[in-house]
Amino acid sequence: MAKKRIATVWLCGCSGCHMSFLDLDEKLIDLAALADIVASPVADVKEIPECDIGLVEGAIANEENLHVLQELRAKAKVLVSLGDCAGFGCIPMLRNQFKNEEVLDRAYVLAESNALGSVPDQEVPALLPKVRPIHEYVEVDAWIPGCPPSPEAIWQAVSALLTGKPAEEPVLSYD
Amino acid sequence: MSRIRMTINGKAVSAFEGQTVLEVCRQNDIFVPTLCHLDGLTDIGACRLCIVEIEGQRRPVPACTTPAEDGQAVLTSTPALEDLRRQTVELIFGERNHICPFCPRSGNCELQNAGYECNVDHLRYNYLFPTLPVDNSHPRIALDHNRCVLCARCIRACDEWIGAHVLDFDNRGSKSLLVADNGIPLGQSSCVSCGTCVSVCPTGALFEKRSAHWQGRLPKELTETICPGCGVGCRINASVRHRQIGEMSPAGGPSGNKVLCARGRFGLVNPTAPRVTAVKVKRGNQWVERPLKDVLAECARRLSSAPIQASPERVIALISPRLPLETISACQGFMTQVVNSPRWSIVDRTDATGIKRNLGMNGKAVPLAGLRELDEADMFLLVGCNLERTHGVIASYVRRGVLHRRAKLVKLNPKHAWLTEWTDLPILVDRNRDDKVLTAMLKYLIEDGKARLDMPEELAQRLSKMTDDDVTAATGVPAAQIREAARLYGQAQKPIVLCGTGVAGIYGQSTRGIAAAMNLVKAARQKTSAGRWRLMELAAGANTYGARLMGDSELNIDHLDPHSADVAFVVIGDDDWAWGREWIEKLRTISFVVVLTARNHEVLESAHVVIPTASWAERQGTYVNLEGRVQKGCRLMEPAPGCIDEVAFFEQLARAWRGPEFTWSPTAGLEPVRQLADGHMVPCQSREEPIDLAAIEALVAEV
Repeated sequence: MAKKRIATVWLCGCSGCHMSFLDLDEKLIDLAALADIVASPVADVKEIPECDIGLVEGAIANEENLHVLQELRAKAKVLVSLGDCAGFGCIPMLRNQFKNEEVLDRAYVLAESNALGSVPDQEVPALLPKVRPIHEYVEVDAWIPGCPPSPEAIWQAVSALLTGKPAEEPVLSYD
Repeated sequence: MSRIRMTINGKAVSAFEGQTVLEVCRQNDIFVPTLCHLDGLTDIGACRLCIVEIEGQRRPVPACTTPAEDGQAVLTSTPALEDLRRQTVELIFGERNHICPFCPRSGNCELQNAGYECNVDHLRYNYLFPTLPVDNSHPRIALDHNRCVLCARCIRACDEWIGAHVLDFDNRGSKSLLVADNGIPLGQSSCVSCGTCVSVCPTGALFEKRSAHWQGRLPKELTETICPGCGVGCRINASVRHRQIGEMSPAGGPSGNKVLCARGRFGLVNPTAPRVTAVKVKRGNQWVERPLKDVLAECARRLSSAPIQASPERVIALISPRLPLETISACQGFMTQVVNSPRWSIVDRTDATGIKRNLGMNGKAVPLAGLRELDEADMFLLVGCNLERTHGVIASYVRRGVLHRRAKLVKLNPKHAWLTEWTDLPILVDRNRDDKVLTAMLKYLIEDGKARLDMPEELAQRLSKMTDDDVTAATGVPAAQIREAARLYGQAQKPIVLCGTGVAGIYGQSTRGIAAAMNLVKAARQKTSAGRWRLMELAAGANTYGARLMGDSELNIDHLDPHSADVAFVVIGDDDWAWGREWIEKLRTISFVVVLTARNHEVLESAHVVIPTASWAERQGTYVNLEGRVQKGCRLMEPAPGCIDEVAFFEQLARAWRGPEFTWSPTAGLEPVRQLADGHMVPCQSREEPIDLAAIEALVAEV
């Protein structure tokens, strides 16, 4: 049986879900036997290749997030929402209490640590009006909630998708 | 109540008419998810999680508000119900901004659990992202509207349990907003800060600020202890990790109390004074650390002085009534068995010797009303109480009685404005004459045939011959007011007299106020179903009654003459009760004062030796509350390093002074409660006690 191909992306999140993924520890060896990681935040991949499983960490906050999400959706046979930001909006969603101009001002003008003094208009992707979970933009096939999801929950879902064996009853956690 | 038969999920069950479908389900261990339901509150069917299908009904109905009926066929779980429940939970999540990872309630949240129960791994509805405020104005409680699910549990608890009704909804539908009073910040509202809203909130919308940042990391296991704050002795649940105490919540218990007051919930864990950490001796104006052995030798030398050998009553002891009975017993035992001085007392102005005489205590029991009787009362006669300040939980009982049962409220000697608009009759009377008002009430009750009292013919005649003018002159209160109070008392089926520390005589030379109140309930034959007198005396300490069971000495702290004492032992624990300046001054004249305390206390000004002891959270032991109920508390944490146990201190001191062979029993005082299990009442002495004629004499003597 040919090895499956997994791509992971890091959108508007803290990378905690990817940390939890790495916390699979020795199971990463089992994973390597079953699949190749063809794209991830630590691999310098310019264009997401065709893949069997796409894992999405993070909510959709700006145009780039949305572009990457749509690209992965087009390339992945199965799209999995990884973590609370992708599935529920979670912490990035706090931004929705404010206007975008207020948020940008806070980050680029009012922040004491920022020497720039003005909101950049190049190279930084434009914010979308509201932060939203990924399934409000594209079709999602499975959700692994958790902040971050436990390595066990990730392994349960990923190994089921790789082997085709049904997963056990998932243990949900929102925190 | 007639029995009915019905089926739930095809299983035949029986129930009582008047029960709801939810109650019948719970009774039969059939799980139905709920969110707005809470045992003890009126159901309102707001959350729609408990929907069930009933054969013959066109749509699902909420189990919590649907009465069980004979022949009903109920289904609690069908694919259609499961889907509706899941939709409901998703809609609740999407309506506001629920972000679990930084919520203090996460891991212990009923909305989260409902999500898990209904397998919600994402929302099929778009979020509304409303912009909602956070009310951070209260010093202890925060209100985050983003997490509110509009279940109204806090509103109902504040109204039905606390009788405060501070909280309610503004606006309608999903725009509803929980508001305090007329929409003012919680911290400026009429909130009584009991924290009940925090306990009943299913989510993190209402949370305690102090523990919010570590609450999620606390173990789920709770330890039950006793609040030492007042005579009610509420049972408290708390979880602890690394000596940090999480939210304090009411643990219920046999007295049926569901609430705490501000002191119990927030005051105990927010002490202001720093801990005492070492044995110290005062040299001039300086405190110097000394080994315990040296201090014991010094104490023994003082106790061996010639004046004390000649008259041991020159040694006195003052003990906080907020300590476990074991500690009080050791101190009492040291005084009565080792020193042979009867002059020990708990520091509580309700240590009325009159109670013992009038109720026939004599080491038996306190046949006074319990908390359950407060919830039946149709009239409250408050004598010298400042309930909201001293007994917040009793204040809740009175408030809900007055507001919900329309119980009459008569206040004698009201010290402050409280429930003013609900007071049927406030009687302003000089503090030292409230006993005469009570006796005058008795006179009018006898005249109306509502009370009967056996007393000498001559005294009865003098009492009945008193005219209204005489009564007015004797009491300083218009006789018409006293007549009205007597009429209200005579009309009531289940009146309760509540005597606080402001009652006549507590500060004076006797306890005439208590005696007069006791005469009143006895003459009107006002007994509870349990045979206890409809009178409650508001003890200040969780163990005031416990100390009395040990045969509290005749020493009343207000009558103590310090010039007749050479050595004083003051055992405080971490009682932060204000002792009053006159006390500090009185102790100052005693040449050797040993203070055993957990925290810096103003009494240390007058002390010569200070011994560090455990704080309330580090103690376990027995308490007897104002109902006469035995309660056992567990320690929440081990004593801090360097703390010296009072029992060990007095044992070592006895050996240092009297020699190693001297034997005495520090636990002798525990005899009355030794055999009684947690929650049991100290047996009630049933024999009739004579009425207190002196209290009646006091009134007629004015003519």
